[in-house]
Amino acid sequence: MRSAFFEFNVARSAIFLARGGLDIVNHNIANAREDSSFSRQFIEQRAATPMNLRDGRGMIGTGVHVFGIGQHRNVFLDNKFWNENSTLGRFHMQSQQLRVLEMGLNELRGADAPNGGVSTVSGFGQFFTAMSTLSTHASDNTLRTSVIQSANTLTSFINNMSQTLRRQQIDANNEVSIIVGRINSLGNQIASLNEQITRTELTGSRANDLRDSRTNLINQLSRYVNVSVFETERNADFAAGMFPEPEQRNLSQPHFRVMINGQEFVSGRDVHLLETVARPPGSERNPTDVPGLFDIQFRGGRTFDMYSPMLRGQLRGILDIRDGNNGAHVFATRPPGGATFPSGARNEFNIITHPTITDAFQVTINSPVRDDLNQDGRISLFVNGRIIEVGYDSLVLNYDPDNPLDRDLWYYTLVIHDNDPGFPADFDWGAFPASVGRVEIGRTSDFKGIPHYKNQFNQLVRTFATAMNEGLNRNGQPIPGTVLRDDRDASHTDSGTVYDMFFLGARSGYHSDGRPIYASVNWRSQAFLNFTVNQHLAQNPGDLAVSSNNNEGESHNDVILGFLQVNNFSGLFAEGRLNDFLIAVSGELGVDVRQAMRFEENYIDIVQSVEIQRISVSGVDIGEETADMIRFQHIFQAAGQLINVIDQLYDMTINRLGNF
Amino acid sequence: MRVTNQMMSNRMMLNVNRNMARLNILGNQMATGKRISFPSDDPILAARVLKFRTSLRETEQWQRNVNQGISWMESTDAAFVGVREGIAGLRLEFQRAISAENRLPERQAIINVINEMKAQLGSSMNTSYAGRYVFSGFRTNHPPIFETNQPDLSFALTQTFRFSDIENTTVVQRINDRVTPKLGVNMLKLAYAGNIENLQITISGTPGWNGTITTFDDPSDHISNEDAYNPGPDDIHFIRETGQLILGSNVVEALRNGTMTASYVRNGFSEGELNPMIYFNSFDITNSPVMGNNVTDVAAALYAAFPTGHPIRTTDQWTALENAFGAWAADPTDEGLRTDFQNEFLSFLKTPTFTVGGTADPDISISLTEQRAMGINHFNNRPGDLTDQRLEFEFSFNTRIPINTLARDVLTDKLHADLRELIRFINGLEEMLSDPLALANDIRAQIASGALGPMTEEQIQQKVSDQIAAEHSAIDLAMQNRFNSMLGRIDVHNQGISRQDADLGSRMQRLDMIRQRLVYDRLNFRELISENEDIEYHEAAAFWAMARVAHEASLSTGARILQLTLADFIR
Repeated sequence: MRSAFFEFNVARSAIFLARGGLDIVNHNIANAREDSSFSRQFIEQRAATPMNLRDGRGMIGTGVHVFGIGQHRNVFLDNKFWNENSTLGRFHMQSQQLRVLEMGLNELRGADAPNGGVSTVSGFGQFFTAMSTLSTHASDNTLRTSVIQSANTLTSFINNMSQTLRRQQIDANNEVSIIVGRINSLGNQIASLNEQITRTELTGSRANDLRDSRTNLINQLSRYVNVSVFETERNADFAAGMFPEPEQRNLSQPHFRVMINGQEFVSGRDVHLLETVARPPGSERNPTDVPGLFDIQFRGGRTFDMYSPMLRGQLRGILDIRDGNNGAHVFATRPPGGATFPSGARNEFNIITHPTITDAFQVTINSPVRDDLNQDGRISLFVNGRIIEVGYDSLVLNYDPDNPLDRDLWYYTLVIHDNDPGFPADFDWGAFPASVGRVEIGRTSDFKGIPHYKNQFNQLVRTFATAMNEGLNRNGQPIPGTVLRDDRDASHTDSGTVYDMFFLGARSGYHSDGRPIYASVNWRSQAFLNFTVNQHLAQNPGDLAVSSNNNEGESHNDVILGFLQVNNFSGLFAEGRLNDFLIAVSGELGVDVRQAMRFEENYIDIVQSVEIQRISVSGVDIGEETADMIRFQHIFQAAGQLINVIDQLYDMTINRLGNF
Repeated sequence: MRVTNQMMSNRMMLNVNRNMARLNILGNQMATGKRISFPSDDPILAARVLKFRTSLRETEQWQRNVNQGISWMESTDAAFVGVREGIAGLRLEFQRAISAENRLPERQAIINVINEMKAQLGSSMNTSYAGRYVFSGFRTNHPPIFETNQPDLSFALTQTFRFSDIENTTVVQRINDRVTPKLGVNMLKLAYAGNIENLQITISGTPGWNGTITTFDDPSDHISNEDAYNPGPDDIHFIRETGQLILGSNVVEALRNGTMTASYVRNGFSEGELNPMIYFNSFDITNSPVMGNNVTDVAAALYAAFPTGHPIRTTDQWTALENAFGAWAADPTDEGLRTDFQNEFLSFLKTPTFTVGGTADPDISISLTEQRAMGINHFNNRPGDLTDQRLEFEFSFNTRIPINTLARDVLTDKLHADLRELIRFINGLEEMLSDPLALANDIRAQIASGALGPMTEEQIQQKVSDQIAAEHSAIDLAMQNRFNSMLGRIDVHNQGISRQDADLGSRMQRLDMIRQRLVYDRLNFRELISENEDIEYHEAAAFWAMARVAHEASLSTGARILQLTLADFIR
């Protein structure tokens, strides 16, 4: 026998359902314009347990049972989105930063371009134009002054560009620190949400909106760094993203972990925050780096593998820009069977016990790719698959005194000490130094970032200044048609000296032959920044050596014609003429910018299409919600009507039946 | 697949955004007129444009250089007009002068004309362009021909002579009051006459020469000293007053297979003379203490220059110089020892190659410090120095053309000396002639002293006039000989000048071709730049219109799609 007022209870459950449904529709519509992290919610309902009629005529329905509020989400799509979003973040940062770089180094904005301005190409062009004019009247001080003036314009433009690159590296470094701050802040928020979600879901309900917030935070995090997310769940159905029976819900104990770059970042309510540490002097990755660039590590010292090839996101993009040296770092492997140095073979090294210093080793690195390392710094030794980083000092670049510019005969010698704290306590000294298979100073990064362009311009000014000052090419060979420094006649200067036209660093004086004494031993690394015209010549244009024999007369111009040959010499750079080099650098940057922009565009499309798939599952559609609204309205109306009808039935049965 | 409003709006916003970006690019192109503003817009195009821009700038600079060069050569060419006229005029005057009707007065008049022409040639050589003497090689601040008297200048210089420079000619002297022509004199003329010291002569080749030089110092030697023009077969007579070198027969033979080098010091120069700095291997030794008379000063200057002897010149030369100085220092009043030392010093200076370990090294020269210590202002002694003074400009990629012509190739020192000697010769003839009155008085005196038999006054006059006539015919013959040989020589000189003229002409032609080519190059590069870099407006406008249509379409459809929801249709 069913209970009295049973029908009321059925109708009431329908009314509650309709109210609840309308609430959810309301909530969905309210969030319809929110970004894609909102997942549309739905009411979880089923028919209530039916009642058995005892007389065997069957079962009667008892109304509707609302057991929860669910959300439409697809975890697979979330993961896919995060993945692609990280890659997008990398290319977005690269293209943005490279465009800034390109604006600084834009060769199209030359004085000969319609919109005026200066560029390296036009600067060198104007310099050689002035030089060519001078060749037609070698003794004219006005023309000499205009050569020096145009050289001045050129050098200050290049100094300026160097400052721009320097500033951009500093900016990029600040950006690193900002990104690390963002990552940390997101990590804190995720950890705190984890706690709320765990607490909420202990009761068995599902923290839909909190979960959406967390997804949103991870969406943001994936822009900065590549993430992987693991939600471990004792309940297998939960783990699979399905919605189990209400009886099992209180068994849910979600544990949410976020890895960044493959390393644990958030685990439940714990977060392992990152921090930036300024590099101590001497451990620059690139000798031209601004001092004090940031390394990233986890607070407490756990290393963050910031140069992992797997790193993505804006962090990777900005590190590429800040540190990318196009593979120009010093490395060497042991030649088969050891070697006697110098031998001329590239990138070979040897370690021997130091002949004079006790408890120290001497490392020889043959024909290094760079000539501008600091005198002390850090060197990585690759020992049986392990990288040991130790300090070095007394770095000396040795060369053949008869042939000082022949790079094949260059070699570095440096000293490492066996009490260096970099050697681990369990280091196998027995096998050392034979156990070392490879050494590296600095680290490589294939990307062409700011250090790469600094290197290029350093190479430019060094080669150019050597060609103009000495008449030698980059390998120390005479440039055809150019008058060597020793053959220039200084007899028209009071001091009888041939002055260098260009300086590559701050000077402390002159040698007796007129060559400058540079103040800093490490001047080579700063060539680009300190590239200047000899101010003595600017004030005394008459001191410019223009002739190989001044007795020949005032119009003798062979030195100037030789200067013009510097511009014509097709072997000045590996790329060809001076102009070819400049165009190649500019073109290289242009291609890289274009590539980064194209990648960015592609990834915008990819991320967009993943997002559309996500919205397809989770997004709110007003039409659909309106339909639901009307459906629930009808349910409400019909159930209300039912209550009316039942009310009349009871009224009839209870109040009227006896009063016939 | 389920499609929601949000998907549509997202997709639409992306599309609208991209349409706007496209409009932005096209609008930028329309505004600047350029296809690209950054290399990344089209890296390959950017590289091409940069290359063309550089080429254009280089071409424009070469055009400027070509214009400079052509102007320079045009000034040279204008000077050549004067030179050609001068030479042709000289030739005409020589021909007139040969004519037997012309006697001394007429020829003197002709000589005046020739003198004018010589001056004109000199001023042609001093042509300047933009304040630079075009015929001076690299020494464009020095005129090839002195424009003012330079009484204080002193140069040590070296001249070379070849066999063809010998003029076999006739001289006229007045010996024992008789006009005495001397035929078959082998004469060389130094570039200068008078004020010449420290003459040293060598002849290279086989058989060479090992005779003596006799200097005739007396200004009247060339008039009255019969020995002056009678050298022994191995001798060279140097007549200081006229700058003549009279060669003995063996010397002539030696020169047939060799080259003569004459080095000397000239003190003081006058207007119209050659500038040794432009013409010869020379040193400016004006006020050089080493060339002075004071032993102490000489020693001070010499050892200031070479405090420890000379590192490379500790050879026989340095030893010889020290020995010569020692000899003179022991007897400072001896002029001969002083001259010996000076000669030693000058040969020390002029020997271009000092030997290192027995090998001649052309690069080892006297250093600036050493020059200054020795008081030598201008030092010009590199081998090949006199052929190297080719001023070259760059007119195109690796194309350099010399633009100058050298004075010493046009108005050669030989031509100059020939004219100078001719003028001196003709102008000197008048004083060779006897004065009729003096001659008559002389005859009367001889009659009175009984040296001659008695004569009537008519006979005396007849004798005087016969004598004068004989003198005149001797002089006429000598003059005719001179002018005849000069006519031959002027043709030789003219050949050299024509060669230079033709050379200049061909270089001008070459430069003109380069000029024309550069005009086309410039045009081509401009066109190439424009083709590559500039947008075509109608095309860009069409693209822009298309992009705009797409943009509008996306906006209007998007707006309509987004407006509609189911709610719009509920009562």
